[in-house]
Amino acid sequence: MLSMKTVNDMKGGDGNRQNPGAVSFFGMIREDLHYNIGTLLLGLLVMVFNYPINLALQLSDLRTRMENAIAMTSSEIASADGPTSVFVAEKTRDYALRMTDAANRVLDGTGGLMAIIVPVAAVLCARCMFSYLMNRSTVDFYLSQPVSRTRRFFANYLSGILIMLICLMTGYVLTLPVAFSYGVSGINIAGSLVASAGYMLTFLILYASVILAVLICGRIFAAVAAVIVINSIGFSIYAIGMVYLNFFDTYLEYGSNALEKLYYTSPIYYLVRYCEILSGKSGVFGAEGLRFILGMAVLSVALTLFAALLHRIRPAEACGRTLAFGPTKLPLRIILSIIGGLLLSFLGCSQSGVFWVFFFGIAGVIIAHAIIEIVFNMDVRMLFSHRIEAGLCALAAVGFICIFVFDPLGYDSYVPKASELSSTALDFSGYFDTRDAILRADHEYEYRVEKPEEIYTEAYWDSDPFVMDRMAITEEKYVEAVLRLASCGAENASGYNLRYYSEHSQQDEETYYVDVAYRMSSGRVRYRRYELTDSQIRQYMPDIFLSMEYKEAMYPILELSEDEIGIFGLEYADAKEAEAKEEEGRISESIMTEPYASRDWESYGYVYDINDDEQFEKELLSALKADIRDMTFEDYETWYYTVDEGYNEETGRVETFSDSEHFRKGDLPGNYITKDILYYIPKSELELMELRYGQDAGYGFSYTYDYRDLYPLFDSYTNTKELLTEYGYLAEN
Amino acid sequence: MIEAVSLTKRFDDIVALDHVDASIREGQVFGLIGTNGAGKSTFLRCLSGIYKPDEGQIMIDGSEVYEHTALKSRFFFISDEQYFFPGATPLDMASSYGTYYRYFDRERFRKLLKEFGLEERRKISTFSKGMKKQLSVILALSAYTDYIFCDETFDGLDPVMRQAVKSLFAHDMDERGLTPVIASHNLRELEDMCDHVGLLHKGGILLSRDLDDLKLGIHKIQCVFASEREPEQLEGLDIIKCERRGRLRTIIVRGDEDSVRAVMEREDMVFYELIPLSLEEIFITETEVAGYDVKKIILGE
Repeated sequence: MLSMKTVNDMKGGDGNRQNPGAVSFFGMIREDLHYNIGTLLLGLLVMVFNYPINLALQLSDLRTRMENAIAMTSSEIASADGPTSVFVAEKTRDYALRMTDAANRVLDGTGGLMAIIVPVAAVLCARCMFSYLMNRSTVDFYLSQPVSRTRRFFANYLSGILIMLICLMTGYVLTLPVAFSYGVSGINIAGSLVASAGYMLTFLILYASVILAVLICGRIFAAVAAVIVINSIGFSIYAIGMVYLNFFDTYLEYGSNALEKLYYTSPIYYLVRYCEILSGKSGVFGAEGLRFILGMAVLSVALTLFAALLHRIRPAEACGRTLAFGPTKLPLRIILSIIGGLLLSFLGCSQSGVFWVFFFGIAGVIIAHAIIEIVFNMDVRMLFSHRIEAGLCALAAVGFICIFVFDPLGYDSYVPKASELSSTALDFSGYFDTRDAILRADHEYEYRVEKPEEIYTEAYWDSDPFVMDRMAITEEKYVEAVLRLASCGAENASGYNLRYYSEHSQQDEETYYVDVAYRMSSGRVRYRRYELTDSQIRQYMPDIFLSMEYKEAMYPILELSEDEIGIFGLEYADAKEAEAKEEEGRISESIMTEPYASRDWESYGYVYDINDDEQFEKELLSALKADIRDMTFEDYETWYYTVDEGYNEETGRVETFSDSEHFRKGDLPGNYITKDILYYIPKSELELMELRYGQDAGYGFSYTYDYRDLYPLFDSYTNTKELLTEYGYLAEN
Repeated sequence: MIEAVSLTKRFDDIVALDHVDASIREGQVFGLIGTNGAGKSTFLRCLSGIYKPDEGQIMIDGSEVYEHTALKSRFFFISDEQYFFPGATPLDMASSYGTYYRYFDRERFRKLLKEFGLEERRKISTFSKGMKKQLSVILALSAYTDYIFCDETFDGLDPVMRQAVKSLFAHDMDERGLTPVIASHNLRELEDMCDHVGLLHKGGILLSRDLDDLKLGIHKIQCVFASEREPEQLEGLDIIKCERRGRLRTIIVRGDEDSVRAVMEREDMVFYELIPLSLEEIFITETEVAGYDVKKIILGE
């Protein structure tokens, strides 16, 4: 007899009002995990290899190396009847530090394969939990159940997260006993947990993005394509922007590129960036690290809520279609075909002539549109099913290309009015290389001395942005002078806009680039790069050069006080003079490293330290400042020659060329100088470097020190030269 | 009570349900008949809250089904594309449904499995198509819902099993007022099960009637007149259709059996006989009257 219940028993007297809350949320999660146990086990296996086994291998290797090193060196010391205990203790301490470092690196994820595991896990978990949306039978099964779509979403969503979390934490927890069994101490538990939390956030972002791809598509194939598109669209637009902006003659990529923000539209970029931050010196506990983690948390919540909303409104009949939401078809087709076409137009950018840019642009849009049609309809015969729309997309792409190629909006001819500016700045590339002071790139260190290897990070890799950022020309007459130069550059750039075919590149006269920053009153900064001929620069620069604001930015030594100079160095154009002064004891071998114009490529050492008292250094600084301030544009002289090789048409051979007057056989194949040069190191840097190298001294190396800037002593530097002569550093002429 | 009011569902350019009106009373078996693509599955998916209607409403006891979890706990949908977890056994599926249906009776489930001869620990993936259908029906009956929606569930069941399922349905209908809604394209399979039938065609309902009304109100007479008479000359008969083969006349008439027999007894007949109409014949007749070429509708010709 079948067991039966009465209707009233079941309905509790009111059949329409059964309690929906009876469906256990955790029961749903338990069921999801139960039926995805294979994925969970696979994840656990991977994490066990990535964490405890990985660490065990590293620690085992380190221990073996330590034992070998101790055994080998101890026997050498013992045979020489020396004490071995100090050495052993030192080695043991050294390897203990390395083992701790290895353990911390494995625990915080930087020492493993998290960069690969996280995206793969995100795809797998999303597939396990949400691929039911792709299949009619599973859609019927899940969506007919007495569970709301939102509840279903969050149960599946959390199940996917739990799979990753269980695997991650299992790997993490199993690593600790491995580390302890090797006697590792000093593990940064808090730091590694925060780092792991960061990885979980990168997982969440990727996981949510894959779920979004699944939600907007109705086929696995389409979802895979959507994941690729979601992750690459930002990079694609960035690439298009960068390639086409370079069609502008005056475009200057400067500082933080606004287009680089597009990277953040790609979920995978968060993982890449996070790995960079983790492996950086400041790590997750630096300001950037914590800010980034917080940002990822906010983003993952936003993506999750968006995915939940899409899951709620996603039509069940979407399974089997390429796109779940019909209205998105048209805009997606337009956007993707234009982007695809413009990417293909890159093929034309490397060809001679704009025809090919347009050709590949149009062909690219047509091809991209056809491919999208095939994918959307899953039917090859449908490739030209929307010919008019394909044509309109091609037209849009042509319009886009025209904006950059023909510059109808006047990007290149733009020069603001002086009244619109709060300040301006300019910098030359190439023009002053052999005629001006040389600034080291790594100005303005950010000091951090908690660990010896983290004393500083460079704020500037290039002296050009260093100058640009420091310079603020505000005096009206000098601003006007800069704008006159800019107008000349804009005029050069106007008209037909392909840089490599611009008129002035075919002129005989050599041209140089001048970078200009327009800082608008509104706070916005616009950058332009103008190409000017030598004679044009000579026409406009003398006026600008009189600006002290310009000089103070160009010559950082002007801002230094007498107490801030650590040491001066001197490089002689005449090696014999240097030898004579060294014999006199006026100068000694410098502690400065690798002078810019070394005449002997096999060794350092042509810079000499000035061995004099502080009073002299103060006078020297004062004299140099005065000379720089009084210097005019016409005072520039060439101080540096490059020996080069080239084809001699007369002899038919490849020969070495150089200025005959200064050519010296012994200098080949290096470069040489024709002026004496002053170097300096600020006192603050000297102290920090001593601290750094002092702590590292145990390795037995001797260090030299980075100089800051070098200042060739032009003939107009009368005060400096007289002072150096007076004190016996330079011979009297 | 289930009620569809102007229910419309479109898939891109295809109108699967076009302003369908229907009502299904509790405690009766509702048969939804139609050719492939008529909209039966779409109707059931709308009824199950899987599809959201584009227009109109589909309600159970006055409340719309879509995203109404309380209402959804009152029915069990057996899809034509059944899903079982990969590697799952019948017991696993019972455990899963037990999570969602609070009155799911595992004891009954196991008993039914035994009665149907299905192994509870065997992987469902090794079951035949018919066995999977049996399992779905057992799961549905064990969930103790008020309604069971079956989409082509009886196709593929052998006659014995079909009869067993019918008995179980009948039992539950008697005991607790179960209301099965059964969609099928096979009229013969529904004939001895349904109380009420609705004929769907091209997204619209052509006909919705109680089966008894249909069967009792329409008769087929085969007769031979003693003299040369035309059936139209018979007084008191509501003749729908006449055919002649030699002297043998086949007449389809409306009306109750007694009054039809009374008329026939009055006439001078060599022979007459009242033959019951099959559901298929009734539909053919009724829909032809309604102006449809029913052979094309039912048989897809």
